Amino acid sequence: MIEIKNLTKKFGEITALDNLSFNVSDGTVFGLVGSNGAGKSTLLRVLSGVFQADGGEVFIDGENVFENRRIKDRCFFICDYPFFSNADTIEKTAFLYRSIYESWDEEYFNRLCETFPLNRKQKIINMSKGMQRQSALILALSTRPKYLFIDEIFDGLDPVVRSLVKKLIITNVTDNNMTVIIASHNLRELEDICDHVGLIHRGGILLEKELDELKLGIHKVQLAFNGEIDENAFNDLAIVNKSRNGNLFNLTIRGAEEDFMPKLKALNPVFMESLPLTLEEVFINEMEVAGYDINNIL
Amino acid sequence: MTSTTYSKSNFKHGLSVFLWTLRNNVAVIVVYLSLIAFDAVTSSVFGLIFSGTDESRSLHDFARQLAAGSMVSGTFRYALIIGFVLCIRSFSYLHNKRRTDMFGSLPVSRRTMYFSRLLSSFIISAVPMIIVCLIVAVFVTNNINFGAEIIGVNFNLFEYTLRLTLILFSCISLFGLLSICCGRTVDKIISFFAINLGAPVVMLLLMVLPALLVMGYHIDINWYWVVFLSPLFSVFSFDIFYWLIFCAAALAGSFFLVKNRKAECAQSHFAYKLPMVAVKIIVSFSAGVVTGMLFALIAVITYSKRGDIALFWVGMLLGSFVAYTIIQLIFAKGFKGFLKGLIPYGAMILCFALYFTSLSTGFFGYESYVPNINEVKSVSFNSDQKLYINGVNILEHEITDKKIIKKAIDAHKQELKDAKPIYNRANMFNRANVGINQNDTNAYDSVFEQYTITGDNNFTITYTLNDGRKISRAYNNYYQLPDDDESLDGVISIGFLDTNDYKENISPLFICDKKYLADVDINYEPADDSDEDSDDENYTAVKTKKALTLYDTLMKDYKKHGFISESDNFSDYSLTFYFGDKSSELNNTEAFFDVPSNYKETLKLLKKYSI
Repeated sequence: MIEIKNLTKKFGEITALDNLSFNVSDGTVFGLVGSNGAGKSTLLRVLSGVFQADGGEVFIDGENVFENRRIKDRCFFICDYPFFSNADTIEKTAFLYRSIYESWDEEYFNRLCETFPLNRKQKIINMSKGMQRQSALILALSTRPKYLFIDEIFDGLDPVVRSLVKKLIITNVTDNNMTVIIASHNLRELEDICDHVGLIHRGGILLEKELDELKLGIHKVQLAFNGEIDENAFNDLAIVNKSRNGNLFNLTIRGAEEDFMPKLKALNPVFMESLPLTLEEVFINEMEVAGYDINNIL
Repeated sequence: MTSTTYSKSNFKHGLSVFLWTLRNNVAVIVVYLSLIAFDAVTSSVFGLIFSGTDESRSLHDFARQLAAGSMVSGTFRYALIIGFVLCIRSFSYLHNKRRTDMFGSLPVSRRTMYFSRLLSSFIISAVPMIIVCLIVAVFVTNNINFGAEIIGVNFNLFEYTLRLTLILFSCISLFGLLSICCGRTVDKIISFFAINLGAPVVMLLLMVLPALLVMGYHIDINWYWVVFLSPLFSVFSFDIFYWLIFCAAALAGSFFLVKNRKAECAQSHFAYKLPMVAVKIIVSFSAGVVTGMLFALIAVITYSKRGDIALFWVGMLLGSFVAYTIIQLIFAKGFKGFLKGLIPYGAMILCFALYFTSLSTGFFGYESYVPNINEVKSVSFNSDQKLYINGVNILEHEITDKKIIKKAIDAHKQELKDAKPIYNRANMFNRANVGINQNDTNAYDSVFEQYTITGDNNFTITYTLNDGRKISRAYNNYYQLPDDDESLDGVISIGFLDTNDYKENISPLFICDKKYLADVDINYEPADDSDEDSDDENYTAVKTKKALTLYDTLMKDYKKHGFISESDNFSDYSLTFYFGDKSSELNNTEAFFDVPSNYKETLKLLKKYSI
């Protein structure tokens, strides 16, 4: 289990993580979403022991992770631009990981090398961006990590490989109880594999929920009325966003369907439909609430 | 899956990183070995070519010696270069964000990671060098004591190898420590060379500057201090224990700093600011003082007696500020923190101003201090005249005669009194010549002499106090031989130089054993002859038996009549005695003696021996 308590990380005068607290249970896929510069990558670096926290604590399996070899041996971090030196091949890099990670699985490594369309003796630096990420993932999964931290893994992957990556992650989570934290802006992909989502903004966490709970807690409702309707009629609903086109209303409402639907029906709309929000729509709505919307940026 | 027990030790991890680094540097190792092989072949070929021109020596031996010397020194050069390249590569994981992410997240402690890489850099660069040295020792020279012909000093090859290895390790450990402190590779390289090149310059400037400003300052350049931060130049002043301590300090510093180094400094800023401040001060100070000296030379070139100090400070401030700005721009990638960074610069200027002021005002009484006679146990004079007998300059012995000590102290005080006003009026580069000739305005000569430090005609007076302390003062161009008072500037020549005591203590004629007497030149110059090219002048060289007879006769006359000091009572003869320890070419000296007119026996003999 990962416990983050009042975590603070500063870069000079900039506070990248500000008193952040949340937990990640074992065997879950936790999606870390947020605006650019929100602190997602910084959080992953603190979790993987690259950065030392300036305040608060990070516990993995009950122990502080920084300079803790035993805990770090259970973790693997794939950063947004994985490093490979000019001479590195998958085989050469495996030489290092094989001797360092106690749980290195040679058989699984061979299997993964065959699964992905890669030449393990080719120099990684000469591979495409997507292939480099595949190489990093092969090496990461071969260490059989209990905790996998991934930053923008889907960047540059073709749809087939994206599916393969998601499948591999899910298999490892279900079979080995692996815990994954993925930071990504590709919310569509996250939606497929995450069961938890944390939304970070300006170093703080805006929300942290199960994906289903998140999606069930907010809805998009389309309503059409026959005549004029007083807009104050929606005042007793938890409206997050509202737009109007003549007598057609688009509402984003927080809360359970069974709570707000009867109230809307009472307004006698000629048409009414409730749709679940995609993660992207949830993200945009929540960020708008936090003051991060297009109008503010522009 | 994850196990609950953890069996990987730091050693295992270190070994893994070490082997992986070796594997990753195979190309560098191949290049290194190729260079060594190329050097060995070319050294041997050149050895053979050159040996063909020397018929007096065994071709085989000469070629072998030359090849051995070239191989050892060449391999050391390559070892330094390869060590430098490896250090850049090995520690780049601290300076590149992507590498930092990869290596920082590995389950290897920071210390293990750092020291494994340090060790691999050292092993890769040192082992081939050590092997070459051993091959040279065993197969090439068949003698571990080599080097007399090659590098001028007869080194024990094993000691020499140890010395080179330690220098290499000192360089690598310093480079590693700087790598921890710096955030970028370029900062690390600049810092390394600024410290290695700049620190000796700073030390030399600090040591030389008093000689330009303090009358009588006795320069005693301690080369250990000059290179104390500069392993790259430690070969010039090598003390095995100091460099062992240096390495230990660098490793200990690395051990403590690497663990808590902020990884986010990669590609950004200094993780620890001390080297940054040190480098800024070293660079700006060196540039400032050198520019100041160049500016002050304007006063010398224009024969100005004034304005040198002002010009020095204009140059100092200008040079140091420009250098500081440039280094700040490089380190901070702009003017960010420029004003804050001026604090150490300001502190440096302030400290230097205080130092400079103290030097200009007599260096806390250094200039005017002459010990009291009751405090002095002995006095000694060190001039350019030297007499080495069995490797010892016997002229440097201490005089304990209280009469001479008193005369020395009185003369010294008088000299200070007379010379000070003249000294103060001269510009800082021309003060060296104040003593001998106050009208000398040959600026270039004086500058040259000043920088030769122990130039011609230096005279040092050293008092040994009763508590064992030594007080030395050096005056350029004061000292002349006792019988030649033509250009003496007064004070040093008064009294004691003409005494029997002094001459007996100082002149080689009285100090050297006559068994070292090589020959004697008899110079005849009639005193009333105004024509310098007169045919009446002549000299005769006498050797062995005749020389000894002349010496014995002179000593007899000396015992009978003693010295005289009035020049009117000298004869037309003067003698030059040449002494030398025949075992070495270095041990030669000469003693002049104007023969007084009352030395009848000697004059009789001289007339007999003269042409």
